[in-house]
Amino acid sequence: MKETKVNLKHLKPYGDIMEDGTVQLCFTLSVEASPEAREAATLLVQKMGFEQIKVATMEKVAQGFSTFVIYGNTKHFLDFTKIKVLKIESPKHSREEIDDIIKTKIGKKLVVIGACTGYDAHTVGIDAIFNMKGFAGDYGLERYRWFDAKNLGAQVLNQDLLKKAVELKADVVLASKVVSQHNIHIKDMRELIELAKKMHLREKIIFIAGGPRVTHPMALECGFDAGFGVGTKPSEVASFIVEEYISRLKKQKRF
Amino acid sequence: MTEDCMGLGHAQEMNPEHPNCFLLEIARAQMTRDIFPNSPIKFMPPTRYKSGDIFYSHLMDAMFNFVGVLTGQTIQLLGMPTEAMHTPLLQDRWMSIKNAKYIFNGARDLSQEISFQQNGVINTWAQKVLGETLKHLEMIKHKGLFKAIEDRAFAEVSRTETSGKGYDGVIKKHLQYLNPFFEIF
Ligand code: B12
Repeated sequence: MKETKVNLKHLKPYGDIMEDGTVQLCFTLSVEASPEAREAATLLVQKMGFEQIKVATMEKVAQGFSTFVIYGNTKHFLDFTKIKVLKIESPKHSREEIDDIIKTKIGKKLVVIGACTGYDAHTVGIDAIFNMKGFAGDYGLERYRWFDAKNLGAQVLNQDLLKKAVELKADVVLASKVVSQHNIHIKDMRELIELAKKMHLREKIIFIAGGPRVTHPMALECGFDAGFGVGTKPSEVASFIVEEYISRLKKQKRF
Repeated sequence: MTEDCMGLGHAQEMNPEHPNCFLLEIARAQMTRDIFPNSPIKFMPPTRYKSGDIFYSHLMDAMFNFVGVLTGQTIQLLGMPTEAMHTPLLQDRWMSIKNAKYIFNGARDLSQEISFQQNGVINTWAQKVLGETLKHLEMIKHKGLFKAIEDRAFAEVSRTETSGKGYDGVIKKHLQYLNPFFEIF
């Protein structure tokens, strides 16, 4: 009998019975839909580590191409208790709390500038973080009394963003990356940090990246202080900013 | 240019959680059809509110197709389940085409069977959109096109007359500027 309670040391996909390992797959083979194509698809799925393979459908999607929807049960499992993910650990605050923290603990307005960088023209994400009206009922940074927030818009080249950061004495730089074809987002993010290092800005400024394909670990790897992905709310970013700023202040005092 | 050569584009981009969003989308699509009866109309699928949930996304496209067939749009661009992910894969395109064929066949003559209430939600919304569009056009006329572009009148993007990509390459032509190649081309 299969267990009815989850065994975290033996985690498998769930279909309708614990640990049945059911997975649905969809892929295309560049051969004509045929009994041979069906067999090839089944064998491939077997090689991927699946058992009890069921071809739900084989469709002729174009001349010489067949698409499959297949169900299979995977043999593999994971020990969920061993999983570690780099996350933003700082506590989340409300807008009122953040304004209050800056006022009492920092005592000056924090200058935050941001843009959608490189040749990326998607402004909606960075606007959601900056604009008064904000995102999903959460007000944007421009609404905070203790942020001096400036959104430079889209297609701002890295060097121009940093020039502006110097000119406005930015404490925080926000970079939005939406297009991720050929990993252009990663290239641009790395380049921003390289440039910042050359201009001796890296230590002075908090660098934050965001976008639908951005994750916190990947942003850290590119040299940022944090990364935010799909569905980010402005107050989450604001919380990180104040916490990071204060922790830097504390470090400075120690030296 | 004659009206039948003027292709006009519009899109179905409302928040899918908005109450009665299909009624409002029908209102806009029908209004566009009625205002430009002789022009081919290009109807574009939802993109902005697409998320990584490709199954929900596929359903949004089905409802978009339904609005399209109901209001007699000329050129129906097809939405992709994976809009929020990548440029569509072959199987994404196939799903979309199958979706559209199903709905365009199944509801082919529905528009001839129904009419909308005079003061109902659909007609009222069409009036409202039309009024706001007029105001927007008047604002553009008043400000001038370039100033309006700068003030994000189009797609909420600001582009100024004196900056932006490619501005480096813009030069002032001398009065006697001559480029023989243009003539040859
Ligand atoms: C609207 C849109 C456009 C509009 C943009 C208008 C504008 N003013 O921004 C227009 C039509 C101009 C456009 C153009 C293009 N687009 Co486009 N576009 C989209 C679309 C439909 C929605 C994006 C959007 O607005 N999302 C809503 C916002 C709120 O979400 P978000 O960006 O994820 O932001 C949130 C988080 O990520 C985060 N966040 C984002 N930035 C930041 C920054 C910081 C610092 C922080 C903390 C957080 C943060 O917070 C936000 C709020 O939660 C997407 C598809 C989709 N549904 O995702 C395609 C999409 C992004 N576009 C795409 C492409 C390919 C293009 C073009 C290259 C098309 C072309 N071949 O010409 C051009 C790009 C031109 C250019 N130079 O960049 C692809 C990208 C594929 C990829 N993975 O690389 C997508 C995914 C569509 C697709 N499937 O092909 N696009």
